[in-house]
Amino acid sequence: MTVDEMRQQPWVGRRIPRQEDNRLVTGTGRFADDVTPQGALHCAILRSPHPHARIVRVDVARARSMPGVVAAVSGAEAREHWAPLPPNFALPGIVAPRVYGLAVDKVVYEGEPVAAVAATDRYLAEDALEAIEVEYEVLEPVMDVDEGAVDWYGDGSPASPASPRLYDEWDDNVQVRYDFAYGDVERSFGEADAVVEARVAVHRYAAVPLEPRAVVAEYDPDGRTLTVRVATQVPHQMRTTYARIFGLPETSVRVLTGDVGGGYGSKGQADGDVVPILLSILTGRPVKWAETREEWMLAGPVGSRGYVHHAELALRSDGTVLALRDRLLADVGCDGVVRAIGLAALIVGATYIPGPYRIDAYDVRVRGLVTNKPAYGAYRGYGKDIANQLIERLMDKAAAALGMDPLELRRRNLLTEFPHEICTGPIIESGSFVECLDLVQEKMDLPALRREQERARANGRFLGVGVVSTMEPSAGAIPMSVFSGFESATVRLHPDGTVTALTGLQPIGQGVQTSYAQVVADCVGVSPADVRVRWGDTDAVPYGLGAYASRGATFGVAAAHQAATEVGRKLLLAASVALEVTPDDLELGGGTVRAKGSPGTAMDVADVAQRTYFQPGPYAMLPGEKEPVLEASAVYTNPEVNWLPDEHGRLRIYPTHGSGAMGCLVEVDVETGGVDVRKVWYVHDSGRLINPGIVENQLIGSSVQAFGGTMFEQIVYDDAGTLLTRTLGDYQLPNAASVPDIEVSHIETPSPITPLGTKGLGEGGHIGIGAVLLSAVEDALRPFGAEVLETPLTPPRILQLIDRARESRARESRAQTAGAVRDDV
Amino acid sequence: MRPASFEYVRPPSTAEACRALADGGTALAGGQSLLPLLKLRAVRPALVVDLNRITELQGIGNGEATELAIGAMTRHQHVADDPVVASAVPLLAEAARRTGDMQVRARGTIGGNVCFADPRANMSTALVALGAVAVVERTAGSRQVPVAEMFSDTRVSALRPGELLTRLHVPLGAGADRGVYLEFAPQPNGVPIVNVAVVPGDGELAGPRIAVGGLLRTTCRATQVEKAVRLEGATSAAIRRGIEGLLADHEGYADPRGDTAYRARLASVLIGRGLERAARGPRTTEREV
Amino acid sequence: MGGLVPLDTEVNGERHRREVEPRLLLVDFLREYLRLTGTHSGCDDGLCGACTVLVDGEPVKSCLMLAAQVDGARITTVEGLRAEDGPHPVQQAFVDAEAVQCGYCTPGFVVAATALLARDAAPTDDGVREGLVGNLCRCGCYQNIRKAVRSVGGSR
Repeated sequence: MTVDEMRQQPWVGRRIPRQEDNRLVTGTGRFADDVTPQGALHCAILRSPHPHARIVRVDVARARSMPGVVAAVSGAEAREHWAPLPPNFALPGIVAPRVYGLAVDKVVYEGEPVAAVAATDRYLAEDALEAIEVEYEVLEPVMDVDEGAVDWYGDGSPASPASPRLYDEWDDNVQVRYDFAYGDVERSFGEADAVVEARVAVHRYAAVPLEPRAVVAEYDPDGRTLTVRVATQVPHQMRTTYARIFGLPETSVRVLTGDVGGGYGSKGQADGDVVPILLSILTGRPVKWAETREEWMLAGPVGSRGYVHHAELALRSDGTVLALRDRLLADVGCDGVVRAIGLAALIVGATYIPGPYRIDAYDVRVRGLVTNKPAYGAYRGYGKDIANQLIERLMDKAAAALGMDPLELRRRNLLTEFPHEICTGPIIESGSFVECLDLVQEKMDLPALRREQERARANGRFLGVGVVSTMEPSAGAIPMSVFSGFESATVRLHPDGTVTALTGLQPIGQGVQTSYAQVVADCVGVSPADVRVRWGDTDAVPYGLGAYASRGATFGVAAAHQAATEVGRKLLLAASVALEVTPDDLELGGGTVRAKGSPGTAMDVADVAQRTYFQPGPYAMLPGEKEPVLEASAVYTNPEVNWLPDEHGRLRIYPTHGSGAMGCLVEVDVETGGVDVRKVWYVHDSGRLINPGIVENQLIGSSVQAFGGTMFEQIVYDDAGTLLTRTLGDYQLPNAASVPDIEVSHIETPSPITPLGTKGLGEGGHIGIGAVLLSAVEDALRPFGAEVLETPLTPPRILQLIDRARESRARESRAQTAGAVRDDV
Repeated sequence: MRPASFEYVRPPSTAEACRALADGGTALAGGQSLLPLLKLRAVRPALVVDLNRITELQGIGNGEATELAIGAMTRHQHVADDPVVASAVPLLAEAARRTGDMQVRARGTIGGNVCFADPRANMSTALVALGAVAVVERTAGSRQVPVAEMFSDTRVSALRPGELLTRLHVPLGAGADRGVYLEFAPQPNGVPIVNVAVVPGDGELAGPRIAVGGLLRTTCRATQVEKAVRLEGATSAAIRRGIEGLLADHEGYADPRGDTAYRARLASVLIGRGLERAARGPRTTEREV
Repeated sequence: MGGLVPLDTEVNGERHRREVEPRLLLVDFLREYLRLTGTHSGCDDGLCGACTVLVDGEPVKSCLMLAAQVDGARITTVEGLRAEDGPHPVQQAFVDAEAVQCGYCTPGFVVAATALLARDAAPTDDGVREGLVGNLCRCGCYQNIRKAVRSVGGSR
């Protein structure tokens, strides 16, 4: 790129290098654990070795006298100093347990914090943990949900009567009950030509960001102020939460974040990370806690997925879908509302199961049952994966049942007219589902793949091809929660022509710094290099809600755009005074303000700004304006979100919806059960793109994560409730050797409801990969007739599927032979 | 995940290391397996004896044409890169090349790999098939132990207190240069589910030597399989029967990546492929088997 | 209790002489004592590679080494790769190839890639895949990381 090209507007839509990267590649980024204040103590947390137990006694006296130890505290002692963790949302049908940062009288998962120490170094802190004595009364753990024992229609009776209860104050172990029905489902099923049913199940896997949780808490006892540096996606909500837990005014609490080493949904709540804060308050010294990986695997929000659908789809013989019914059951670990925020994913899942298809009769019931496992965390996809996995598998099954081409069946039912209100309430504002499917088919060269597959089968090799549609709801907002739907920004054009943009949206790897600079640069006519985006200091930036639900490219960008647009307007006004040209005849770009068609009449943005601030005095350049400076703040909300249920009980929590289609090619080794995912094609439409390079990394990254989750990542407990996958050796993340190439193509259908036509993105890969891998592996195993409806697709499972299919074929053929014999008789 | 306190010595010679071990020390070789255990405090030595300054324990020599002597502190990367290993016992180079990752290979040692006694350890499987012998020293003398007998149980070696593994002797000839090492994992990351090493027989009398890792609680020589193959030929049925024989006599290994039944199946497949490759000619470097 | 042991080491060209507890991990020595926080800790078990540094030129996971063991050795951390006139070619390649997302794994990858390229100046795609299995990128940037490493290899 030449300098002239670099100066050209617009910046939005351009693949420019990220501003973040220089510090990150040179090791000069600042992650929470990189900061150690003078005199800091180090916190270590003692965790329960039992998944379910009463705490009889905790004695920290001996730990207190260990070398270097400044404080040691049990849950019972801590209770005097803090309030329970607040529930993160309060939707109908959801119950929240009463939880303290350190367990007081009962533990409900292996790894639950029971006591903690602060010592002069981390080694001494861990030494001291060994001196804490805890007596437990071990209780029988609940490690599974019994699919057969769930009472789908009861109103409060125990869902699994035989199970011990986790929470004494609850009637049963059900944390969420959500029922929804729309249209005449019974009649539609009665009128259907074909009904297919499926049990689709997904195992437990989790976000596992490479940076574990980290907190540096500094309480100043003289000023009664608290500063917390923390690895979080939501700094402002952390301020609100910490203030509430520790009884401090929000004015006295400051939350800082710098770089955050990945979140993917998992860093959106306060849990064990309040422990070092308490220790700082108790000691009056800075206290640091940098979690170990084992702690994360034991006690992070590592519950996610872990659900099973029992569903039926009714169709006419021409492929028209008539109705859908689903019973969705999830194992939500010990809690998905207080200690973590995963629970609402089930409701999101239920809302979007109809997917991008016209389905006007739908009946769903959702139950989330607690078990003695760690908390149910949010993880990329957040229910949209739950939805896609089911509807796409049903589509493939329906196509097989009707003898139709599965892509043709999809095309017949995909939404083509927009806006379209789907039966569960959300409005699909624009889309290109059919176009995405067509394009992915073309990119894959499906006929060529089919020929290759045939040749391979002739040589005893098993290739499989899968194709699915995806819908990517984005920019979610959960009513009655700290995840409600607004975002804020302030944009300041300084006298030297540089710009500071403050955002409440927290960067966690998604390129906020660069893409927001691109958006702001266009509005005020400068280069992104002149824009400094700031975030993550609750004393400096306006209250914002941070990074979750793929809201950065909608809520965050829109707020920044709105504020920058206002600054741009004032800049033009000031320039019009200086240049004596009406604002409408001026244009911005390349760091200058020019008269349209008369390039000689121009001023540098910096000159305009300088004069606006200082020459000759306030308002000289901005006559009639409310404020005489080039600064504006904005808050963006989206009208397509509703906060109260409508007459059908429907909530509209996602305003924008991306379209997509995904294809993949796999090869299965039917002797070892190994699956080689050879290639993934992903056609994606999330409206207008701000920085295609950043977008592609989000799409590929989410695909890679879901690839790992679907293929081999799994959280495993033994029957006694002990975690078996405690390291990244046991819980394998995808690595350079296994990850397939992912080819991304874009379609850009602007969203009509966001200022720049953008939609949220970043979860799309997670939404589609599971279903497309299951579909492709099923295709590879078609000669055996195996159905592939459950994850993970580990080699042992692949062999098991082949065995079962062979056995069932053998049974069938025996039965046929027997039948034939009878017929003869 | 920080170690408990310990004393630390760094002896310059085998003799001094043996004295420190006799005093109750724990040997620190490459540290790639020991350090995680120290950090978990699952191992709590009073004294750590760092072997990394003992130059006599490092390096590969074939002074004798009939065998290769590999110092216990030779790093995996060294074994993987060594030209003599590559031509004389290519399966050992392959096993080393697939051990851990680049960083682990830079520190991890062949002796440490054997002494850690993980049933999935690449080097152990290769060494067992090659009929390698471990030289074990202590202050009062030394003994020689076939590598196949170095493992008492999963992650428990047959070393006695005060003993130090100093060298591995790998016999050459007898098909060693035509051996094959194969492993399988859903994604390659240095720890396979099952690995096998096959060394073809050297003539009509001696059949192939086969070792399997990740099937039983220890790395083992698959003598039952060897016998079945000798008698019935390298058919999958014969291999399968041999594996069943092994499992009848020994406890199987299992972890979340695969139960014993799956491992048995995988071992059969890999042995079959290994025998076929060995018969066809070695030098395969395919990533997946 | 373990007595202190002397440690004399050169880190990024600067000599450091200390007495340390034998149990002190190299990663903690670099991060907490020398404030070289570019070396990250991601798994504690030598599996993620975020703590990779060069010890006498060899790539090593600093969470699996005792600080005492680098006595007499020369260490290079990600901070030490940087040349006076700008980033190291591998660092620049990561920027150019869009190989960074959250950036937590990046220093480890950069150091490992430097070591890989020292062994093989022009690795194949498979060579990069296998060479970097000791480093994990949870953001899933492998495709671009491979591109970055090969672009440096190709330029030689």
